[in-house]
Amino acid sequence: MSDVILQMSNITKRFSGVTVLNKVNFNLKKGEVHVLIGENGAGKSTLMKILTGIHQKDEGQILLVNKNGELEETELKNPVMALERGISMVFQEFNLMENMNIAENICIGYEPVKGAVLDRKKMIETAREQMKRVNMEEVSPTAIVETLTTAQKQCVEIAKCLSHDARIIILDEPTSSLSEKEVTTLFSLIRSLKASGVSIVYISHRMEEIFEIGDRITVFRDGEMIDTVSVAKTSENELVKMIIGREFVSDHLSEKVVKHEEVRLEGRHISVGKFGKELDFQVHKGEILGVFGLVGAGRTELARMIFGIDPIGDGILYKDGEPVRIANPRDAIRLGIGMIPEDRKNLGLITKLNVRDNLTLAALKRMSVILKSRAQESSLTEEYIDRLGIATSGQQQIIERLSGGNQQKVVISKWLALDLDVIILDEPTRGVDVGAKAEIYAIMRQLADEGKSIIMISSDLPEVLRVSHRILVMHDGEIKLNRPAGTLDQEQIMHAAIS
Amino acid sequence: MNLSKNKEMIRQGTLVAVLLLEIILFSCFSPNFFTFSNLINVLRQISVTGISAVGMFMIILLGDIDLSVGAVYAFVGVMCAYIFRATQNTIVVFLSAVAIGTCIGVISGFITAKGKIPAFITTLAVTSVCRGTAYILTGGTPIGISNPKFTVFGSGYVFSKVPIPVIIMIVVLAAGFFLIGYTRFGRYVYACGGNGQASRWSGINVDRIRILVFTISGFLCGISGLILAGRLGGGLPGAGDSAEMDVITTVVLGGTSMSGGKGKLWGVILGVFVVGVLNNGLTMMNVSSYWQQVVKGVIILMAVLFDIRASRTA
Repeated sequence: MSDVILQMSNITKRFSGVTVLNKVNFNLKKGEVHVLIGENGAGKSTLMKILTGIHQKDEGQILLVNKNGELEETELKNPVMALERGISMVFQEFNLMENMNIAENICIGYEPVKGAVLDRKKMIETAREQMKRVNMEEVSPTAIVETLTTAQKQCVEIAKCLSHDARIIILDEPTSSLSEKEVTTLFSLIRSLKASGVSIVYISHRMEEIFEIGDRITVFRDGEMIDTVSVAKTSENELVKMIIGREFVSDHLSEKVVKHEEVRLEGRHISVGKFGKELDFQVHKGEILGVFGLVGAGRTELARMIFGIDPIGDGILYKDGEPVRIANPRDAIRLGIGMIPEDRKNLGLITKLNVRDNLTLAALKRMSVILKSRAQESSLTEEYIDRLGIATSGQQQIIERLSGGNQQKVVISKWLALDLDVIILDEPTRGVDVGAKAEIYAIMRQLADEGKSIIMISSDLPEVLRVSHRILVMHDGEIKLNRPAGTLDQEQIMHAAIS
Repeated sequence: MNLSKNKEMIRQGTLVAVLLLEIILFSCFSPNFFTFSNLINVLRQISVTGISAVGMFMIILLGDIDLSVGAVYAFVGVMCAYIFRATQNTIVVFLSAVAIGTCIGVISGFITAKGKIPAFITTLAVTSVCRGTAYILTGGTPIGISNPKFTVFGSGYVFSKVPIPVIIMIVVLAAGFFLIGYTRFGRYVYACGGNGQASRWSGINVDRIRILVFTISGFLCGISGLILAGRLGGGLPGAGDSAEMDVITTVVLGGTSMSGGKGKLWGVILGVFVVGVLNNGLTMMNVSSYWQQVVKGVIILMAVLFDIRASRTA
């Protein structure tokens, strides 16, 4: 194969004795989009960190194409060596100096100089040139990065890669915080990069995208490379099977017809965000209400008002028929309302504390007046580790060391331990692997069966359709659609969300 | 988890080793160091810092800092001297000290929490006000009081052997352990310091926790200030100059993370002893107090470097 530009063979990596990559093989062809897929902790990020020189391999060989077009063994001892060999990575949470402008960011570390003085003119020129390649001509190179949208920041990152003459660009979950439209723009950019001979390694959890943009797919599971397949020759079911190592049963809940009559939570005249419009909503007992909408539709803002994070203004909330005032999360919790935020790391967890401390944090108030009881906390924690199948080495495991799915289960447990009536989940399965996703759905369903009300905010259309009893579609702070899930299909929902 | 626990053990082990090394060295160089009376003396010397360190520990756990400790000592000392002159009553003086300290704590905490002002700024301002007021009230001259009913807090004894400040310190430490380790409040302090946003999302009243912590710290500084005044024999407007640095040193030395959420009271107590013994030993060896400052500065840098290195290897 003459068009292979990178060959990683038998790569093995251990962290303090634990093998995280076991004899992994991976190759990349010129101008292809190669998708890496696998559950969290399957080894894809570790392999990419070896490729970018952040981690060092313990065993194996990396061959990279040289100027004469021949494969040659290379050592990638640090990120600078990787950069110089044309390998760049765009991280999920970016590596940009928010306070500096685009040109300064693109040229960082390689600033052009005239003598000892920065050559600003040259810098802006370089930036402009690279920005053109990522279709950012309309933005000034002197714009401060802070003021850019997420999609624009991503383009700046890609431009930065290109300024290093990148031949290989690794994109880590590039669409996780982009809107539908921005994704389309990103994909056309990826296609034009492909055409210019750049190879893309694309890490993603989203099936639709993989089939849209990918050429080949490599599946990882438990530190091993399972297989590399061509996108044209595989199917979603086959991939899911490879990822989780077992048959994936997809069951649709919407077929089950349940009557939800008792209103649990009701909102009237609620004005969300800066749209200046009012909306009314109802959640019933035992119901899973899916709230769909594109980024910026006002879904999270609505949830934050219900949970008392942001003031609700002139809106009125009724809980079990009674009007209630919720000024802060404490009030919400007292009324039996909990919220699992999308931003797990910053809002959901205290990463310095262990599993038990995090899990019992909200329940502590109910468990004790002043004194806390270690025994009671331990038994509660044990109960939820068991019930939700949290994979942890113990109650005292520091949260940072858990995988995304398990962290999410801890946050969910925190609220379950309080026995609330209404639970709001904001993007509950973002950054969570396939197996844990199914488990989270099962928990939500079980809670609904117990008579609790679930509000699930999600941008994942199949997920909304699969899990919800009823679906609300929001757009610009308004409810555009409010119907039982069984009566809707993807097209109708998407139509409501964009118009 | 094992890693971080080991790290904690190594850290505490290092502190114990340093403490032992100090004791051995000073015993060799100064014959009067390892005597019963001097060791009791060490305990008495560390009591002022030790008591305040419990409050500072909680403040630093929150990710805040309190720079007003020394100025509060001076203000409390001066006020108590006046109050004692007027009342000649030990109990009234004690209650006043505690009340004044607590009030200052409430004010600092309230402004910091509700005004969303960094504690660094709030307490810097409080420092200026307290120190300034102490000088205005006294006109710059010490209010000397030699009446043992006042000095008892600094130099009194129980059973003619154990100094009263040491007893107070032991009580405060015990209460600190209880509060931090066994109450809901203690857990909330770690939680708020670890991630204030997530704590709020978990239904914790973060502002109230912050105000409470500053209140407790102010309360303890009131006690420390009175002990210091007792030892100095009156209210001195210049008392406790840069005392906060001693307190911060011990807390940081004890392994409390300046970014909040991480630390153990055991470590802080070890830190108090390491610094206290060092001060005492250097004094016994006739090393000037200027040099002592230099040594303390070097130690605090080493402790922080150790902390950063340790967290990197984790």
